[in-house]
Parts: sequence; structure tokens; C-alpha cells
Amino acid sequence: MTGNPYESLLGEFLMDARERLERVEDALLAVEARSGGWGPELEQVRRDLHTVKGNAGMMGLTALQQLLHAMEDALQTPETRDNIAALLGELDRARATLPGSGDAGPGAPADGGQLPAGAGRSAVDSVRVPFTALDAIIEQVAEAVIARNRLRTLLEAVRAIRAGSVPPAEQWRTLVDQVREAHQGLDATLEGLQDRILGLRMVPLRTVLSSLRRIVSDEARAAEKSVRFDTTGGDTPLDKALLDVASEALGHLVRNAVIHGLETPAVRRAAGKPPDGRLRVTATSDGESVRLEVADDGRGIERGALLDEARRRGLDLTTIRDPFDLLFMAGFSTRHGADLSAGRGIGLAAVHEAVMRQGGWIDVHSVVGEGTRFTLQVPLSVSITRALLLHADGEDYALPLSAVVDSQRFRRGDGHGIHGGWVWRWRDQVIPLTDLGCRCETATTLRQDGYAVVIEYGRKHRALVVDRLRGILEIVVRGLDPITGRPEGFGGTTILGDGRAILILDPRTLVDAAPAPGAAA
Amino acid sequence: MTRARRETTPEPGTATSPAGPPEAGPEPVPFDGPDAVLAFADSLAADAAEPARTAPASLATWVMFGLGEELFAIPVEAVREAVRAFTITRVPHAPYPVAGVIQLRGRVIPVVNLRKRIGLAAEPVTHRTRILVADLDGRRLGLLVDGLHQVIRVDRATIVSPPDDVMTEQSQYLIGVCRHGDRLVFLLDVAAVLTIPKSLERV
Repeated sequence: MTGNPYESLLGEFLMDARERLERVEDALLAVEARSGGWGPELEQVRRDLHTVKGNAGMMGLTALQQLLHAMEDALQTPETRDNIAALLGELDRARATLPGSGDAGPGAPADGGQLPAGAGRSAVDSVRVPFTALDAIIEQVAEAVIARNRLRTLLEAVRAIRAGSVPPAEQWRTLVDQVREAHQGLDATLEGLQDRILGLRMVPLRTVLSSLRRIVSDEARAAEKSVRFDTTGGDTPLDKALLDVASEALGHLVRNAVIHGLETPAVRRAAGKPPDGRLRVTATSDGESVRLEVADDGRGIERGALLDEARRRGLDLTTIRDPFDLLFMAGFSTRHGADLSAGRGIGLAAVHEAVMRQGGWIDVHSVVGEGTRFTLQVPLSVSITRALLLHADGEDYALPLSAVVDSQRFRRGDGHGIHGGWVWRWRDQVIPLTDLGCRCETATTLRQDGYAVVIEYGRKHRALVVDRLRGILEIVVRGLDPITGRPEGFGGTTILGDGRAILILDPRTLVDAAPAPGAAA
Repeated sequence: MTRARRETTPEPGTATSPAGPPEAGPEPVPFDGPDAVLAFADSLAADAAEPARTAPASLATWVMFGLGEELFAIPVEAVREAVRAFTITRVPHAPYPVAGVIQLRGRVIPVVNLRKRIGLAAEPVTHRTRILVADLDGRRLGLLVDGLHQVIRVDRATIVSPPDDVMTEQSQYLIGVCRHGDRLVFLLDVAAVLTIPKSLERV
């Protein structure tokens, strides 16, 4: 898509400039946190600023060039060099002039882009790929090509059989084995390829964590609070798409912690706590998901006060399972209670929704007077599928759309009972028919009226009869705890927009299933 | 936070904390209505955090709840939180005591109906019904109970083991029995209650 050489050059410049300016920001924040003045990082900062300035000149970005020049000047004299807040401000202005700098930094104005949004995106939404990774992918593509060629050869053998005589049984068996082998090889290769490509989407969390440091520093300065901020787990890798969600979520959480969770030094001293508030972001990964924790040792959240607020707003308390759920409700905030989580409303609801959408969850633990800990977990990579939402006997089920081949109005007269089961004439075939309610123990006989959904798995078909089709939606697949016995016919669970957990049907076991008892009436 | 601090709290006996909060005593807190549930939840967090400092080694804290006419209790450490029971999604063909699954802050959690698990007749969900959420070896599970009563402290020495002849496969979950006023409380083992024996898979 980047046929224009200038555009591709610009992309490279932007990536490099962002990286270097981020490093400058990290250094500035480190100097600020240390409170002992500049150390050895000064040289690196100068080099980075100088390089970006030079490249900016080459790209014709004169405004950026001038801003960076001013920063270099400020670093020359000790007085201006030690005014970190001023330097950070200048850095933000410099970043805001980067083309497509919509997300240049947490402190940057959002409308800094000078080019149409699309032009900048190519650089923003890119990842760096090491050559060795590309080589490995090319190698696997080569393997896939070999497997394809093998299948082609075998296809020739099959054609020969069709054209001529039937070969001896021994020859058949060999052919079948060879096809199976080729298929397995191709399967493994494609799986490896998928893994490698997903791996390329993985980005270390470090970039997010350093942007948090900036948020904490800015908010603490504005709120006149003193914060000791630690992060661990910067090496944890995360899918690029999820990184953006995590970044947004963590930004909200640390900002809230500084503004609402942590107290001012005076209040902390009075409460017998050290004057510096502690804020810690921890990332850990178990290979399948990433767990992020934001913990502060601030004032904590009082459940009782949350409830008071809910009552004040006239919310129906009987619909509230747990007062902490209120924190995640859109528009809920307890702004009037200074000792509370004032203003947490909108942000937390958005965070909750974003995390849920990606198949993650969020949890809060708080002890009044001792602090609050938010835990959020997101999968390392997303498994989103499209599903058809089926409705039978008051229950909803998600059916993976990939298995659906047809759906039609159905009346009981359309089904024919034979051998203790039902069959249905569909296109030019007769296929087995299952009432989903019977299959799920909510009905005892085939319903009179509804819809028949034809599913296909491994060339086998079955029609599922339901009351209604409720539309197609994107779902995130979640597991089913072993205590449920993981019954056949169900492939997991998912969460609907209204918060209900529903079951995902498993086409593979449904297609094979013997007719449920009661299906024959 | 509770968990982290519990790890760093010294063992009972070594902890002498004169500045700590005064011993609240075994004074029961009555619970009914949503406010009380919240107070209860707060007290859970506080109690879970404090036992080593405030309770003598022989006292253990239990969460007491009712099932029909009887009183039961599980160790407070096992309970993460107590939530109202609504929109439980049934899982067809699941073992008999499994009520279904619920969504709690983005997680899908299976719920075991304690009545069915211990051989009592099932009752419909009411406004008093609660789900006690427990963590078990990295899994999170719910236990459906009729209604919460209070948090009690029980002196270990007063716990009576169940007689051998009442122990069957289904009652392995019973740790013992203790007195509360003039009533008996059955003390349950959470891990055992949240394991479904073969005999209960289909009833």
C-alpha cells in the first residue's frame, strides 16, 4: 500500500522518532523520580534529540525541528535542564507535531495530526519484525508448498483410478495412508504458520508501562501528591490489539489511583502512613493470558458509601449483586463523597466493557484505609468467532456461524418420525432433525412451529429446530469449568451484551449425536 | 490486598500488637437486606485480614448460612465474596447439583446448588438466596445457599467430629459440628462440597 517512496520513508521516520522521543521521556521521568539531578542519561537524551532533529529536517518537518532545537538548548544550561516539567511540556509539543500523532502520548493533544488519519496509521499500527522471524515464516510456507504438491500427485493417482480399473485393496490402503499423511503435514505446517504470525503480533508491555509513568507523574504533580510508582513485568508479551485495550485500561486505573485512591502527604501522615503513596502495576503471564494488577495503598473504597450513592440515585438495590459492581456501571460516580472513588464512573465502565469485549475480566479488591487493587486479565490473543444466536424455550444458545449452512421456517408436519428419531427433507437429502429444546432438556417433544437451522460438520448434516433466530453476533469463546461435566453438544460459554452467560453449541458433537430421548413422539 | 498482607502477617503467637484494634469479640452481626450483605462483605474482607492478629490460635472464623431449618458454615478464608443470585444459566446434562453458570465481572463461574449437593430438596431462588464465591486451586466457583446469617468464631476445641456411622460417600464434606447458642452448626469443607461424587452426577 506504500507505493509512494516518501510515504514509506515517512513511516520509517515516524517509527524511529516515536521510539527515540519515548526514550527521552523515560529519561526525563527517571531524572524527576530520582530527584538527584541528571546522570549519565543526559548524553543519550542529547543524542536522541539531535538525531530526530536531523531527520525531521530531512523530512521537511520544520516545526518539529525547531521545537527539538529549543529542547537541546534548554539542556545546555543547568537551570533550564533541571526544570523537568517544562521539558516534558516541550516534548509533548514536539510529539504533537508528528504527522498522525493522534496517539503520540498521554499528554499530547489529540488533534495534532497534520495528515489525513490514514497516512499516519500505517506507521502507528505497525510492528517491527526481525529478519529471522520472516525467514522462519518463508521456510514454513515452503513446507506448505511441498505438502500441496504432494496432494496434487495423490490427486493424479485418484484420477487414474477413476479413469481405469479398480486397484487391489493393498494399493487403496497405501493411497489413503499417503493422503492422510499429506493432510497431517499440511495441518501441522499451517498451525505452525499461524502460531508464528500470531507471535509477530506480540508486543512487550514495556511501552505501555512507561507511558503510565508519565500519567502518574503528571497527575501527581497536578494533585500535589507524592507517589512512589513501580512497575514489574515489562517483558510480558501481548497481542498488539490487546495491548491497546490494556493501555487504555491501565491508564484509567493509574490515573484514578493517583487522583482518588491515594491521599495527600498530610492526610497520609495523619493516618499514620508514610507520606509517599505507593502505586504498583504488575504484569504476569501464564502462557494463555496476561494478568495486570494496579494496587495502591490509599484510602480504599467503602461499599456502604457506594450503596448510599446508588440509593441517592434511586437505583433499585435489589438488582445489585455486589456494591463493587456499581463501580463498573456507566455513569455511576460518587463525586460528592471526597473519601470515595469520585469520578471513577465513566472511565471504569469503559474499561470494563473493553476488557470484556476482548474476553477478559476485571476484579476489584479494596480494604478501607489500606488501599485498592484492580486486577484485570486479558487473553494473550483473542479468539473471536461469529455466531448465530438461537432461542428455544426461553434460553439462548450461540451456534458458531461457520457450521451453519441453511435456515428455514419449520412446521411440525415437515418432520418425519422414523426409527425413534426425526428426519427432514432438506434440498435433495434426508437429514436427521433434533429439537434443540429436547436436546437441552427444556422440551419433551418436537415443537409445532419454529425454525430449522442446518448445521454441517465433516460433510454430515443435522437440522436443529428452535423457536427463533435472534441474529448474528461476534462472541468471545470462554471455557466451561470441569465441574459441569463438560457435556457433549456444548463447546464453551460466552457473555452476551446484557451480561448473561450463555452456552456455545458444539457442531461437531451435535452432528453426531443420537436423537435425544423424547424426540420421537 | 488482603491476600498479600495475609502472607506477611506473622504467625499467631508471635504477633503482639498492642496498637491493633481492640478485640471485637464474637458479637454476631445480624444480616438481612442489601445493606447488611454489604456490611457482611466488608466484614469478610476485614475478618479475613485480621484473624492472626486478633484471634487466639484456637479460634477460627466461619461464615454461617441457612439451608432450610439447618445452619451450616464454611471457613471465611474460602469465601471471596457473596453475591445475589440471578440469571443463572442452566447447563443441560451437567451433574445434578450443578445449578448452572453465572457471569461475574467478565468471568463465567459455575454454581453448585448446595441443597442438591448435600441431599436436600431444591428450593426456588428468592431475594435472600446468595452465591458464595470461592477460589479453589485457581478455579473460581459459586455455592448457592438459602441466605447468609453471620460470621461466627468457633473454638476449634469445641468442634465435634461427625460419628463414623453417619459418614457416607455423600457426607465426606462434613468437617464437624459445633454449637451456636442452642443450635447446631454443620461445618463444611469447601473443596469437598465443590467436588461432585459419581453417585450424584445423575439423580
